[in-house]
Amino acid sequence: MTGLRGRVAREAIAADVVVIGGGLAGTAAALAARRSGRSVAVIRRSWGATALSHGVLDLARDPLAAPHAPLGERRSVAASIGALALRRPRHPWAVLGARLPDLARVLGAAGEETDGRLVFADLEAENRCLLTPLGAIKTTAGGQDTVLAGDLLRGGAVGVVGFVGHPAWDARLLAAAANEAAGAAGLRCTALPIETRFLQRADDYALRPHQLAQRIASDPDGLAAAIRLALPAGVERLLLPPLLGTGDPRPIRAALEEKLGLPCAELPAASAAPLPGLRLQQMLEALLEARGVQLWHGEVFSRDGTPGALFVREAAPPLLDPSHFDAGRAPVPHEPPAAHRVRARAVVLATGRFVGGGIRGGAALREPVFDLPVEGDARAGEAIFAAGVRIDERLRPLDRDGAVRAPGLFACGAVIGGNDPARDGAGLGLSWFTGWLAGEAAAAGGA
Amino acid sequence: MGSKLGADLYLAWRALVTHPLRRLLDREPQGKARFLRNYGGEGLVPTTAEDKAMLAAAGRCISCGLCDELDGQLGAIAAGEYQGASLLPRQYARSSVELRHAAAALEAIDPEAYRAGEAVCPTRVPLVAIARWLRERLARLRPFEQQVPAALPAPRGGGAGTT
Repeated sequence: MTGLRGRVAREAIAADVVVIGGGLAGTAAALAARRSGRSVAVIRRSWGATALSHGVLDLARDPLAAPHAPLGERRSVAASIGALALRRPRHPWAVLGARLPDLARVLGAAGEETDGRLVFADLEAENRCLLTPLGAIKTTAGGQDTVLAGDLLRGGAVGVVGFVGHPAWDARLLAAAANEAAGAAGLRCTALPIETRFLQRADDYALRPHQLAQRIASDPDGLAAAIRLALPAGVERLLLPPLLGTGDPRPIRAALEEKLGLPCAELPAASAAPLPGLRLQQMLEALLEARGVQLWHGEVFSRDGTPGALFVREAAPPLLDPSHFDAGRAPVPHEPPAAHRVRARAVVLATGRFVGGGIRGGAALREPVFDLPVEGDARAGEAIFAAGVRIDERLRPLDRDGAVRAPGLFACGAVIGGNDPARDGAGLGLSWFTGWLAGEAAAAGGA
Repeated sequence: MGSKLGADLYLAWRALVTHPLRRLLDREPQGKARFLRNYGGEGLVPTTAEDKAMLAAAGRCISCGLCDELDGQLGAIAAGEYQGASLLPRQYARSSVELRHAAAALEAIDPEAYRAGEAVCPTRVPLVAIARWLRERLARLRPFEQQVPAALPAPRGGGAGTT
């Protein structure tokens, strides 16, 4: 698999638009700015939550849905967004209410930019209903096309594939969970535990998802033959573990469909280092390179809290000075690498939340690049999982007094506060939307 | 009352005569050296300031597994010995007692191969430095290894499965 692309930031960087953060929101911002003809640089410290995601792009959950009834009243995606905005006035959907007419256009751009690998449901349709590898149900409006094709609401006779000899995907558990959750939608799931050629060694149970995916990619015909042996009559489509290769899964899916004569889809991911999330991250990086975006690996900071004094330095892992342990003092990091100037007409902050490093803990929550005020301090009675910076309807970060921090500075994605992804069901889909809008605003020249 | 006086006298004899004499005549190592002789083989060796700095850095690992996905050494070493780069900060960096069980893996790995995983680490765990440090720490344990039996002795009278 490919790691972080681009160059290490050991020199000054200049571009019309600088995007800080390389997850889905940062990528959307960079692509939108490139569409407007701007030169764009993306600087990121590491991978973050996008690489660890399910591989789905959710916009909003039906607010009346419950774990035992994941489909709730089966509202449309647009109605779910509206309901969330009404209930939560500080949620980004509420703050950006005036921009909702742009939603269909911006979501459509995801498919255009990714050659159809990222797709969204019609906003007037209901959320898709996906089965996770743990047997839970995940509702979402968008995602990678091979995952989204596994919508349980389509009903019918579905075969759920699992591998004998590997504990990660239990076909029987998954089939039972799917039948319970979506039986009312006419779904009839059958477990297909299959024996494969690539799981024969005694220690193969410990194979990681990407290792299994490599084996499947090298022998999709072998997998098809093994499935055919276990396939009962009457199955209309198949759900497979999210292992159809480490790159673009569509050729492997096409090979399976051709051999088996059945539509195939992948489950979303649920374990650590999920493959669909990694594939998504790697696809985004390849896309940025192909569009001529400068990719940098570095850590960005501002000396005065504005984009006018922006610097970057090499993102080397910080090591603590051992002498401070001997002296009984609090340890401090070694001297950081040299800083270099970053010049841009507009800057987009897309650093994510806790995993991405956009919001950091400590004595108080803080935003480390521009030292923006952070909402969501649990000690102040706020929801910490919705922590982030405040923005106005043009995605400009706000200070405590409600004033815009600086012209030419925009924020997008999970660094924006007010959204609790687990509770609200608004995750990477919202990141794409805010990222794209921020990129367009940055390309337009700032304030 | 008499028995208490006898006990006190006996304790005084032990404290003032027997014990000081034994310490004077005893050729066995004392203090830290004795501790290391007894427990060094189990991996209980001194934790230096550098060890503490590395343990703090390893403690940043959130077990996300991203580094494992970019670990080309995974699969080249037997799965029973090695299960990816994240095993270093998650397990072997935390307990010197367990370190000797990782000896085969630590000798097989190339620390420089962790550069790609280190670059994508969300919490910036210094994988290369940790791998080097673990090998050095393992070398510190080597002198004590011969004091440890290779395996626990069989139960008296023969355990299950013995002939």
